[in-house]
Amino acid sequence: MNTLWRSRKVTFMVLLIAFALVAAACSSANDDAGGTEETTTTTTAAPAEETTTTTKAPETTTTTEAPLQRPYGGEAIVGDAQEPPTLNGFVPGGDNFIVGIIGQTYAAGVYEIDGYTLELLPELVTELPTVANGGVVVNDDGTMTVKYTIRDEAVWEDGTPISGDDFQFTLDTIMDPDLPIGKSTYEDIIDSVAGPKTFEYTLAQPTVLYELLFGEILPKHAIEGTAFEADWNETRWVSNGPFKFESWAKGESVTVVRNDNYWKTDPETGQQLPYLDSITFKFIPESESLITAFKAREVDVIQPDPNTEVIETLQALEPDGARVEVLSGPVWEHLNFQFSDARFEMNANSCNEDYNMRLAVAQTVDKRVLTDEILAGQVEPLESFVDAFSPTLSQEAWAQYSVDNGAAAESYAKAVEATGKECSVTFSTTSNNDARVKMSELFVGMFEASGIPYTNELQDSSLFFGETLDNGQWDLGEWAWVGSPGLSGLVGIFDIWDPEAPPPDGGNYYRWGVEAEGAYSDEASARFAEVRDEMNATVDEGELLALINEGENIIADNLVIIPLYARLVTAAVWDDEVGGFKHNPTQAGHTWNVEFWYRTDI
Amino acid sequence: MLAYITRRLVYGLVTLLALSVIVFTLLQASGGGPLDRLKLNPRMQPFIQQLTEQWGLDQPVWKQYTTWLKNYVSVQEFAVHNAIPIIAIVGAAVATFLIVKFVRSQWTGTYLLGIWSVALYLALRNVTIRFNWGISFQGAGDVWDLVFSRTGATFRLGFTALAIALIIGIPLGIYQAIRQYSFFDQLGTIGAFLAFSTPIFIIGVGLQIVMALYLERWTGVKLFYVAGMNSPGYPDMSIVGKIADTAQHLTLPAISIALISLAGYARFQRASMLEVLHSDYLRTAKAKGLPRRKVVIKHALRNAMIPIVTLVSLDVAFMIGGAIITESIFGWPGVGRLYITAIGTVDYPVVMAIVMVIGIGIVVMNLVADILYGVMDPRVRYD
Repeated sequence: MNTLWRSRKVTFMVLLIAFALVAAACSSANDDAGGTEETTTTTTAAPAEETTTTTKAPETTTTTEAPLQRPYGGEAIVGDAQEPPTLNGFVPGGDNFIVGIIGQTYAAGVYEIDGYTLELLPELVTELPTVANGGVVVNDDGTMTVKYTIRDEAVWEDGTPISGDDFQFTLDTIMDPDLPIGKSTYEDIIDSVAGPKTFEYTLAQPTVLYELLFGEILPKHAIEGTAFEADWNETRWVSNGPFKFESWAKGESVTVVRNDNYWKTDPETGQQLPYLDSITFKFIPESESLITAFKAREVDVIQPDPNTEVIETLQALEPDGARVEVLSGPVWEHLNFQFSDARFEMNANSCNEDYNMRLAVAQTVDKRVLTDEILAGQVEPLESFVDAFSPTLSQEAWAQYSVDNGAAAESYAKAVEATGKECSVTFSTTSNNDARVKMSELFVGMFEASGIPYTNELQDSSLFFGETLDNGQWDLGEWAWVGSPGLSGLVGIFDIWDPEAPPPDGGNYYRWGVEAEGAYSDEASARFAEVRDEMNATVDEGELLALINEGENIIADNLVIIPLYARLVTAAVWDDEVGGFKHNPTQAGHTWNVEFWYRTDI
Repeated sequence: MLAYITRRLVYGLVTLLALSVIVFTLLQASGGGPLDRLKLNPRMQPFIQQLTEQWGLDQPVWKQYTTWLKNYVSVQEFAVHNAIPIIAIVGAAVATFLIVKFVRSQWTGTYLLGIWSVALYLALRNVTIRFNWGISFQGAGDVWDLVFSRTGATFRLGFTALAIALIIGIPLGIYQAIRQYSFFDQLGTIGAFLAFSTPIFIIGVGLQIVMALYLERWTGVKLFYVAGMNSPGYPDMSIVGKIADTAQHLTLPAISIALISLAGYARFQRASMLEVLHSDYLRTAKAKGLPRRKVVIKHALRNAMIPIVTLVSLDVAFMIGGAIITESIFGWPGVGRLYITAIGTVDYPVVMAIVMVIGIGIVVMNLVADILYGVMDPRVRYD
């Protein structure tokens, strides 16, 4: 009996302990919540006092209406599929999208891209230099000088003022021949002068590409003397953004916390920015899991792969407090023709050299069907690649081509007659992209309707973006380019048709106008080369716009490519938890205004 | 015994060499390169050229391979912090000599395995060693650091899953064998086939939806997390909080992996146990009037465990490489996820490093399994 009692007692104790453990495990979520609340209350208290202080001045000068106030404190968790390979945006791997997305919390540069207007706005400098404001001067010797005036209040997180020396150090680091950093336009800088709050540099020739230089500035006092390539992959130098780096749990998350020395205030409320105490970027590579984590409110903000199924799933959460932004992005898909002889390795009957064959393709491909079927009609078909990232400057140069199967058949007949070949189309793109696979399936019916012999030859992206693109071994191809806002973005994109720059040294994968590789060079391609050269040698806005228009018309009139549609970008936020969120469809992404985010539930 | 181990190690080295040649060749032949993502930026061509030269990607494949191999086996840093490693290794060597020379029993393998495991553990705890596995092409830094920064998470998940699978799977298999064709046996068989035939992706996502999403909605309590290894505030939590948080994150991915292994162990254990239970010596033991429990545990189980040893050893080896799919689904920061990311970005140094770590694991664990065979079955001799 005694043994039985002891045994029951032990069992009871075990059950009690087990219950306690389960309760501890269960309650940890509540504890978390409690902890957060507690932290929030504490942290809110301090900034709230600051707020009162900072808002006292306006109170004395303005009306009796209480100014709009945002709460301080709390945390936002951003879910992302990708993890940054490095935190150093300058070295290889730093060009990954996610590096920039996280970087916007702690790195500021000369400009930022406005998510509402897609225009460039000054960030570290008082105004963006232009010819009109005297910040850009074309010198008599054909060189061009650009001058930045750094904001007086701009400081690093340790309070050190951001100076011209930091700009100079950034330039020197980029130009260090021993460092694996992309130099591009920086190579054209022939002289520079650094002042306490100014920085001036001279480019060998006028170019509008100066607009996108110095997107991030390095702190000389923190980096000088370190091994730049090796020392800054897993940690960050002092911040000049709204947050500062706190920790990186590899494979899991990056956490940034408030930079108390951030200089910016919210123009709407007059409050010191940022509002949040911290932001954690949580990496969840599987898209299904990312959506489930969002549904379970384990993350507050996501920018998932924007396929229509995902968008519909997220939109179904809107009644529960989620907000989903679906925008047309700067990544534009396009059909393109290979002009070099290498295309015959893919299709011996390729007739891309004949305009009528290209016209037949343009008259066959129904872009509206593509956008309806692939993107559920969420975007309009592109009539110009310019639409994708600088819509106000677009001429819709491809609107001259409309779908007409009868006309396509006629154009095709003309091509057959002119070339003496049984012309056909072989379509190549990446086989591991669902949208593109669907596109290839839709093309089968479209080309059949026009009576044009057609086959699909899809390839894995590693092969397609590797050998195929390098060697020009495709007939009709399809992939996407990324555009950047501003005139510089437009001028930059024209490089892809530079007849003087085929791979491996250039990016003209189409080989249009590249005579050396068997591709024809004609009056149009020669004129285009001139237009491009002129574009790269002027900063006069009027002149540039005229050249951009002419260049676009040449590409459209000669059907070098056919723009199809801009990819969707989407982001979702729990509006009842995080306020101030606005998605930016450009490379600036969903964290472009992170300093304005605030908790709506405190 | 010693000759056997030496011979197996030589075979293992040849296998690893062949593995490295095959994988390196396949990586090269699969098309695409680590700099392809830069190609679509028209301004990056000079940069691509610079990196191509710097990383030796312009060299012939055989030269790239020999450079990689030479670096892979080169010690970059080696420091012995105290005398313990030397004492441990010398002590183990002396003990090995004495055991081989004078003991020579069926337990020789056990002794040697135990002695060398302890010696290597003590030695590795007190030395710093790094090999020159190169730099990640994706800017993620030193490959040695990168790989070993992920092993802790992988071991945490892998050993938990293995423990669950062993603790449940083996007794389940034994019970099914003892109660052959009973309702429980049939149920176990159906369950095992279901677990086997369901893709791990479905199991993982299903667990996330039911256990992490809907369970919280139904109960109002957050019991499990969809993804990650720890919550953002983990470092500031109390010990109890940390344990609870770890359990909340670890349970679902561990169950996902364990379900499949568990089904495998149960099936193997059942089959193996049935074979032993129907053997003559067991019949003799029963005829002698030995208690059923003694017959099953002492006489049947030991022999029935032998096939499981191989299975578990290989599982441990593969575990080192991480559970690629599970780690991706649950956002678990392990080697498997690193591996899949490296393949996607054609990051040769990282892919090769992980493949070789898995290869080494398989070679070593196979050897360990063979030695354990000898321990469990005295009839096994190493010639």
